Amino acid sequence: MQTIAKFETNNPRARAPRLAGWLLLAPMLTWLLLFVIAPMAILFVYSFCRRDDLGRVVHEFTWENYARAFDPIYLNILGRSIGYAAITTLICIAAGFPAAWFIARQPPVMRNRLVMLVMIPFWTSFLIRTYAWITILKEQGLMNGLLHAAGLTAAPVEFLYTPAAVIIGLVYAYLPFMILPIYGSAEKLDFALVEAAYDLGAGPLRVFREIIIPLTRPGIAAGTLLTFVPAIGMFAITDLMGGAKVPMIGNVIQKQFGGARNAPFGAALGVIFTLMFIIAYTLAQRRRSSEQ
Amino acid sequence: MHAPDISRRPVSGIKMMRRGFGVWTALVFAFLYLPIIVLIAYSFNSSRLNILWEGFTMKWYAALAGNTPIIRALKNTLYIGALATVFSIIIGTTGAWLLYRHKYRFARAIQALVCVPMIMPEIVMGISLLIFFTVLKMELGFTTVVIAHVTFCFPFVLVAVQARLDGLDPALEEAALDLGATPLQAFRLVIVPCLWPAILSGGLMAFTLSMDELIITFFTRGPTSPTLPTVVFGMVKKGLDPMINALSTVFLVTTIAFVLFSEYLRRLASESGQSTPTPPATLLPKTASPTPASTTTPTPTPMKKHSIPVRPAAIAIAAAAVAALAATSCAPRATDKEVNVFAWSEYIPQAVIDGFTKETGIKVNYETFSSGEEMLAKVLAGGTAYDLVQPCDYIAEVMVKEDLLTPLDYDKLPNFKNILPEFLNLPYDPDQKFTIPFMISTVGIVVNTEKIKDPVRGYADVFQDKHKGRIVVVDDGRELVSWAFSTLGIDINNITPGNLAKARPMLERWMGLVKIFDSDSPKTALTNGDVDLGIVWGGEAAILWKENKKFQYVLPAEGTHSFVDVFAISNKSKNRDAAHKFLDYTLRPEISVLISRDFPYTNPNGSARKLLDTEELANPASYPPKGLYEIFRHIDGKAGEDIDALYTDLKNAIK
Repeated sequence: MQTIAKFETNNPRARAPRLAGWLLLAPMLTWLLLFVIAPMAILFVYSFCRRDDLGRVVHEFTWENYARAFDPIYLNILGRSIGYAAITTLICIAAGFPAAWFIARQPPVMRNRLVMLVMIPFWTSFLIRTYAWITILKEQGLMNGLLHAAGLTAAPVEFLYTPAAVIIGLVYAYLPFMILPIYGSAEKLDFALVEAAYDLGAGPLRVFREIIIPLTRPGIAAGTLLTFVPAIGMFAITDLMGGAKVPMIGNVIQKQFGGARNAPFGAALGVIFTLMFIIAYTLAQRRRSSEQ
Repeated sequence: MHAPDISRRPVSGIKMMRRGFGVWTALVFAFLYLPIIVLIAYSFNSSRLNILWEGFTMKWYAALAGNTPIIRALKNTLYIGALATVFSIIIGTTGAWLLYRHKYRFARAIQALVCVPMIMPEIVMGISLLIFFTVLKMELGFTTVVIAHVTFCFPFVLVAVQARLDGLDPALEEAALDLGATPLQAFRLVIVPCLWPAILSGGLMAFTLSMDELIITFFTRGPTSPTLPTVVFGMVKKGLDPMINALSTVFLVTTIAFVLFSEYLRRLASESGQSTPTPPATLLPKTASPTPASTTTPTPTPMKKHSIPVRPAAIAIAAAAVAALAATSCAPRATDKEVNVFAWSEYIPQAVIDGFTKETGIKVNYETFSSGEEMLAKVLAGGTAYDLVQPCDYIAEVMVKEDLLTPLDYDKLPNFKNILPEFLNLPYDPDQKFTIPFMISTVGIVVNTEKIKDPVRGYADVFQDKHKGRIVVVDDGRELVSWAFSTLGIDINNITPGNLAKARPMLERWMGLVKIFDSDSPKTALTNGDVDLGIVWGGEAAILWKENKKFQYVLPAEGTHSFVDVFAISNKSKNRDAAHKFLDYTLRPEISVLISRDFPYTNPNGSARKLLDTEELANPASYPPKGLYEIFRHIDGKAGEDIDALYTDLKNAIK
């Protein structure tokens, strides 16, 4: 039973779908086919095309775009983007987990209210929020003002336009996307298990490591996916809070379709980027299911 | 601790953890709300630039109340967000459940595909959806934006719900089925309530993403469906004014009040509901009672608190969907009763648009872009029949070559005579057949004279080691290359690999000294005092000078260039008469001067200039000594690629 089930779903009693099962999934599959696979196919075709002097795509086969995409400089940029995304994700887990857990342990009314309050700040305009961060972190900003008033620093500290500012911006943008899925998992966790572990003499750390973390792992995994993956392609925050000094993979691709007017090269980068993600994701899934 | 008090220890451990987590959660909320507090405070700031605090005012709230386009954009955004969320919840929740319940072939591939929209760069998804919609001959508008939003929103719901399903007791559904529920009933009455916290989280994420999305929306929207982010982003050019803070504040306060208030109402209802148990009971058919749920799930979740009124919700959704379709399927429009303008955001003051509509009865659909290349990409893909487009010089050159424009009918443009001759017959349109110059600007140096005492005459004076980390420049490879070329005495349009190689060492040194690259709003860092020198668009410099005279504008001694924004009529235009009328309206001196007042660029309209006051004419960034300098020409693909590769390489090497 286990060996059959482990390849597709972690529901031990999952059945093979009959016609109805496929029919019900059909809307989603059609959606994926129309709005994900079809655009990807266009991208794929473009990636083997040339472009003319005016930046239009010309349907002439070439490998050139891929040859250029594997230039070490682009791999370097991709590596940096992944690095920033990974640091962001780790900080989001560390900061978000206790908050998600705490919210899940509140009475139902409070719980819903707090979940909403996690997300509501993001119903403001992205630019305005980022400008607010700039106001806080700039040389003569709030942060430096407070530090100076507290007598902690003599001269203004350079926060803005540094990698640290970029990380603050990224963590801020993605934290709710970590808190909410973990909350979804933590909310269903039976607190009696935690109490039982304490009753049996386990210390807080051990309870955390052996009860809480394993039982909320699906939420952490989902939060990681929702934070890490979009953060790799993110560049608006990097540009605004980091001074656009270091290119990210998102910038490079974006520029090919915009200013550089080289859609085929952008498409090649996009195809490689997407394929790398699909492979990495499938491998991770396989490892996860074989662990179970 | 030889004899630990077993009865007390767990309690203290749990308490300790709870207290620690409580403090931590408070800190997390402080972090989340810190910028929000700043944002709200700045909505009362009297400075227009949203950067420095000047004094208290309520004027932005007053301005907001009178700004119908923004209110309309907000409504549109909320409408799109609500629909995208509903569809995302439906697709995401059922998808997650089905993938969990059945062993599909290719399940892992389906799963990976679901996640692709999360990783695909927005512009890639935007452009490919645009091409796809064009191929399908779908008119761009509300529907296409909703479809695009659902595509990138539903994976978030699906992933959140999947996390909740993981470890769900399979007996739950079986018990419901054994008790006589149909599979649909079991899903609706047992599974969905169990998943509710994840559905709520997923829906919140979907709504948030939809509300704030800019790039995909840009490519899939039509001329009549602006969303708030597209409007706000366009405002950066002129200086994002605190009206947007006011709007955000009003919206935030309303939602927070609603959250608190609705919970309060629900509590009132549930308190009274305890004495009358009928309303919740009607939602639970006799077959699938909540009992199996509460006995088999690890957490005994009382059904009542999660149960959602499915039927009213379904009716509401259906009504919303029908209304949305009704809103998009408009009757065929009469020719020349409206005009589709595709222009730089905020470049045409609302007063001008309103005045035109009032006088002629022609409705203006003002769609905005924030880069000429984006505009070109969207025009090339087709989809919308624009009437008026607003390219800059070298993009206009492409559009003329590509046959994307219609020759102008000068009989319909009597006010064209107001344009000064020095701005006519430029290389992008040598016979002045297709374009009318709108505004002209230069690129030059802004010096904060309070900080920089040495004279700054040109690029060489800016890029000094002593200014390291005090410089902002526009984030544009071609610009930087042209500055180096001017310094080296190379023609700025003669872009060859050899010339680029000559410029490389100079650019490498320069870029190492720069603190910020920003094309959208280089004035921000200058106003904030984070940098003292800038090489920026003339328009930015003019705004800075208007705000504070310490910001002096210097045209580089090595040489500079101008850029010309023009208006032209698209070859797909269906409302040519109305387009000519609009063009001629903007050429009237008393109208053109309104544009100049809002945007202190160089106005090519000689008669309008006469209406400006002396201070406006004295602005060195608006009216430099010479009317027109050299302009950028269209460069071939190879040259563009070389510049891009060089610029990326040099940036990547910055320490």
